[in-house]
Amino acid sequence: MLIKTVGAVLIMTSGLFIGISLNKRLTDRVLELKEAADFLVYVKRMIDYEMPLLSDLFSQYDRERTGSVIKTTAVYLKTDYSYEASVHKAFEAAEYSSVLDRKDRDYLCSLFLQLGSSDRESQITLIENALRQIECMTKKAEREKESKSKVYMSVAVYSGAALAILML
Amino acid sequence: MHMIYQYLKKGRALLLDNNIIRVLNSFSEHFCKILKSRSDPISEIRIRSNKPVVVYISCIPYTVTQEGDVLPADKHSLIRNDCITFSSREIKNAVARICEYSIYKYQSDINNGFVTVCGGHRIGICGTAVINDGRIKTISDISSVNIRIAHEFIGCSRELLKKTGVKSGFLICGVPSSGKTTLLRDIGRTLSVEVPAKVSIVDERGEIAARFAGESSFDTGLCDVYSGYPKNKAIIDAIRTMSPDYIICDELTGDDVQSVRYTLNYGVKMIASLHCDSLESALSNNAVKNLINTKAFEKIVFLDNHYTGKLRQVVAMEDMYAH
Repeated sequence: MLIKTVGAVLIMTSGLFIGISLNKRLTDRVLELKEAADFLVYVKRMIDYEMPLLSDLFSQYDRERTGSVIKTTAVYLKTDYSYEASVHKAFEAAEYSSVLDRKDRDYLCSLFLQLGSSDRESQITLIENALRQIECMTKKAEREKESKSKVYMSVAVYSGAALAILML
Repeated sequence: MHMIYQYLKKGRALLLDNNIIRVLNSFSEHFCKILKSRSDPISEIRIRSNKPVVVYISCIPYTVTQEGDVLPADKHSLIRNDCITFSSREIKNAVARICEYSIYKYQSDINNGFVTVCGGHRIGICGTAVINDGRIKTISDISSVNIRIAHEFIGCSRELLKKTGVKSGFLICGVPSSGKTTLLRDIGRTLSVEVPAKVSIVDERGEIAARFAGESSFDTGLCDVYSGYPKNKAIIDAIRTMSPDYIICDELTGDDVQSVRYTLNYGVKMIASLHCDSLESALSNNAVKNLINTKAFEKIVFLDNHYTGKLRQVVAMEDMYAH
């Protein structure tokens, strides 16, 4: 009986953890999109005033989270890879490790490849348009998070409870 | 004075430094490897969209084949199928790499038709101008690139300074690639170190001192360098704040007459270069005559049109009109 009880508790706890990790993924997606927007604001400000090299912008941006595409791109830029190759490699790596979905990644990848490819005014315009787009993507991600997190938690808890009851 | 010319005449290798190798690698590793393997004195590399690459060795044009053969450029070699060529897209990608994927940083230079890279090498860019409000916003569809390899020849100006003296200003006249900028660079170094005098260099196009990330790529001695400044602003600022004995300036035009007169008012000697191929064309060109009539220059030096760095004649101002 004791073993069954422990087993049931463990199953319920696992269910809870699964629910929490799925929720965390949704939360992290929102955070990563906000970080991308934050990075673009930083790039826009720096291009407007100092016009540093693009590679310096990536390496000097110190707010990126571990595993984010910005940080990964900065790591590849420090090696012998060209900027284009660094961005492609960073997004290839993000395919398995990033919390962003495919559409987000494709958009950010094509955006990063356009950074540095035109004059100052065009860059500022590109970044401003991108910020508006990312704001929409972030709002959509937040709505998804709200609707799906309840579902995930409910399914996870109830499945765990059901299995626990079956065991008992 | 003949040092540049003698150097080239002997066919001494003007070695491709790491900066030029990086530029050539932006186009193609294979192309870079071919040129690196040669010991010829390369002064220019012209790359045109879908046309054979032309390399200037001792001012003579050559084409380069895929196998690595360097052939004199003529109507036969230029139509060969195996000449190295680059497409418009490849040139555009190469320029992006040369600008370190930060075109916005180099945009004002690109709009002026060139990019100066580390080492003082100038990459001339030609394409389709995008005009906005009457000024060039950007260059799209880059069709031609001219890589001018810069070289430094310490001491090449000594003979010239012996002929002109250091007590007054003078003009150095010559055609493109005649060695004017190389001479100005060495004159600045010599005057600031060996005289020693206070020298300000007005380096509007970044070719004399070729400052990159705050450091001069060339030895300009103890000169104060105004890099990228418009000429008239730099001249006024230099006189007001640096109290120079000499101001060195590249590529004067008719628009600089006022600035040159300004230096005269403060007793500053002006040493400058000018695009002009002969005394006759100098006398028939109003812009040149206006510059000469400022009386800021006591002598005019004419360089040879065919041999880089070779002196042709030195004319004193009072003898100018007698010629």
